[in-house]
Amino acid sequence: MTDNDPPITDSAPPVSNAPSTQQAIGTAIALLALLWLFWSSGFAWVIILGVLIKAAVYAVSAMSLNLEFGYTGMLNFGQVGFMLVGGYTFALLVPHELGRAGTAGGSWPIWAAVIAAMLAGVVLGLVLGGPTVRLRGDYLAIVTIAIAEILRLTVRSFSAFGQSFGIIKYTSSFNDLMPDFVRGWAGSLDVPENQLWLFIVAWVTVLVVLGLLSLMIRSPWGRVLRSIRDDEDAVRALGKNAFWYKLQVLMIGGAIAGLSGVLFALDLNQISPINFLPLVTFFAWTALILGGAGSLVGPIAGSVIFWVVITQTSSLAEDLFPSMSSTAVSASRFILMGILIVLLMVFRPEGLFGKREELSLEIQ
Amino acid sequence: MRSSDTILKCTSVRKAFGGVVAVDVDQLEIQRQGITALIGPNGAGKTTFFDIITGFVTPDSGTINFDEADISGKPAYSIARSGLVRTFQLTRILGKMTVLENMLLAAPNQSGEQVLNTFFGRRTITQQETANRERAMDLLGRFSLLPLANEYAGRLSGGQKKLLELARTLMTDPTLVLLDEPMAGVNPALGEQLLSYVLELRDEGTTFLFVEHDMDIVMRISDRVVVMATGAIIADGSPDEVRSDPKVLAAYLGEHAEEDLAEAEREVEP
Repeated sequence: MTDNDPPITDSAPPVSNAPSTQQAIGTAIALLALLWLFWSSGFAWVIILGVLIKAAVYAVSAMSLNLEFGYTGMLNFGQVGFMLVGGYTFALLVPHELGRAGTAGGSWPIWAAVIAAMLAGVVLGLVLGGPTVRLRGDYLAIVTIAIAEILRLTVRSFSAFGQSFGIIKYTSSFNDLMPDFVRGWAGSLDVPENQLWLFIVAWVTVLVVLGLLSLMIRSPWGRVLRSIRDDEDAVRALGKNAFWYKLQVLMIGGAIAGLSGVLFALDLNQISPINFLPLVTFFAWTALILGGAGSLVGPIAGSVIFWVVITQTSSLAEDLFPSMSSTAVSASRFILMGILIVLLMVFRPEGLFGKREELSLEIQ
Repeated sequence: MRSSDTILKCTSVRKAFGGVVAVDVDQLEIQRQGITALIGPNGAGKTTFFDIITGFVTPDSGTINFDEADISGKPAYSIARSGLVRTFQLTRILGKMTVLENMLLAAPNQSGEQVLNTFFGRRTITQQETANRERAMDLLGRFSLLPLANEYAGRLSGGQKKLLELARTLMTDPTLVLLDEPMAGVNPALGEQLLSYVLELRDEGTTFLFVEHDMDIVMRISDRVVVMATGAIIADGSPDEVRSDPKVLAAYLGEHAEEDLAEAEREVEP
C-alpha cells in the first residue's frame, strides 16, 4: 500500500491524493540511494541484503515512532527500550543459550514468542503512558529516555537476562521455518540462506505493518490522532477521550517497536546490553525525520536512505581520500549524515515525504 | 411542558486560585431552548465558570446538573458527549486539518473511532462517513464555508475560524451550546450572519449560553441576561431589567463612578 491509495475518509487534503512532485522527488532520492548501494557494493548481494535488513528493522521502528510522533505528536525518546523488551522477550522464550555459562533454555514456539514480544511492548507503553500521558509532552520524552536506560542497565545487572554476555543461539528455530525455495534463491544469489530468509521476513513485516497502519491512519481513528497532535483541548471539547487515544497509540506503537526488536535480535544473532544504547533510538528518529514524519512511506524511505548513507560513505571516503585514517573514515559517515540532516532542516524541514502544512516539530 | 425544563443547574459552585476567588456562584439555572447571555467586566470569572461547567477546570466545591444528570467531576470529553458543548474564547480550530476534516471529527458516535473497526468494520465506517460528510457539507453551506471545505483550517480568516468553530460545535448535535465571545474579532457582516444562525438554531430547539462584551448584541438577542462580577452573580433577568440595575453599572464602572453613569447608560442603551 502506498500514500496514493484512495482514503476512506475524505480527510486527506487534495494535494496528497495525486502523486505530487514532492513524492516523486522523495521516491527518486530513495531509488538513488538504492542505486548507490548496488554500485558501491559492487553488486555483492551479501552486502546489499545486510544493509536492507538493517533498513527494514529500523523502518519498523521508525513507523512506530511515526504513529506516536508523526500522527499523534507524542515524543518517545526511549524507542530502544521498547526494542529491548521485544528482543529480550523473544530471545528468552525461544530455545537459546544464556549468559556466560551458556545455560540452555526456552521452549516457546516462534509465533507465541513474537506475540509475547509485542505484548511486552504494549505493557511498556501502558506503564510509561499511564502516569505521563496526562502531562505535557516533554514529560513523556524525559520518562521514555530514562526508562530505556533503566531497562538496559537492568538486563546488564541480572543473570536472568545474561548480564553483559547477553543471549546467544536463539535464531535456530527461526531458521528452521525457512521454506525450501529460499534455499534455491540463496544459492543463485550466492548469499547465506539465513540472511535471505531474514531479509524476506523483515520486508514482509515492513509491508504488513505499513498496510495495517495505513488502514488505521486513514480512518476516523487516525483523524482523531491527527486532531490530538493539533490541539488536544479542542478534541476533548468535541467529546473525544484524548487520554485514551494517546494510551492506545503508545500501546500499538509499543507492539510495533517490540516487533522491530525481534527483527533487530534476529539480525544481530546475539544480543547483549551493548546493542541497546540510546544511539539506536536516535538512528530510528533520524530515519523518521529524513523520510518525513506524518507520512506513511516516509519512515521506510528514510530508513533505507539512512542505512545506505551510514554504511556506504566509508567506502566513498576511502576512494576519495586514500590517505585518510580508518578512524577518520568511520567518523566521516556520521559527519555526512549530520550535514544531510542540517540541509534537510533548512530546505525541507518536513522530510522527504512529509507535508509542510502539517509540519509539527512542536510538542504537545 | 418539556421546553420550560431546567437544562443546566449549578449549585454553590466555587473555585479559588490561591487566594483569589475566581468563581463563587450560589445558584444558576438555565432553561431549555433560549439564549442566555453571561456578561460582566474583565476578570469576573466568566470563562473560568465556563471551564468548570464543561469539565476543563475542577471546582473546589459545588454540583452541576445537566439534563437532570449530575456532571460535576466528569471529564470534559464525557460532558461534551452528553450534549453540552463549548467554544473557546481564543478560537480552537484544528489548523493543520482541512475545514471538512474539522467537521467530520466532531460527528458523534463514529464506529471508526474504535481501532479494531478500522480493520473489520470498513463498511459501516464508509456508510457513516458518507452520512457525516453530507451533514457537514450542509452545515458548511449554512455557514458560507462550503467553498473552503478542502482548505486547511489554519488558512481561514479570524472570522471564518469563529464560524467554523460554531459549525463544528453543531456537528456534535449539542443540546446546550456554550459560546465564549463568539463575536470577538469577527467583522460585523460575518457577525450578523453568525447571530442569525444562532437565532435560527434557538428556534429549532438548541439552548445557548454565551459570554459577550458587545452590549448591543447582548441586549438584542438574549432572552435573559446574567451578570457576573468578581466571581459571583450580581444580577439576573431580562435584558431590560438588567440594563437598569444600578449594581450592574457599578460593577462595570467601579463604585465611585457615579458621574460616569449617565454616559454609561447611553452606551448600554441600543
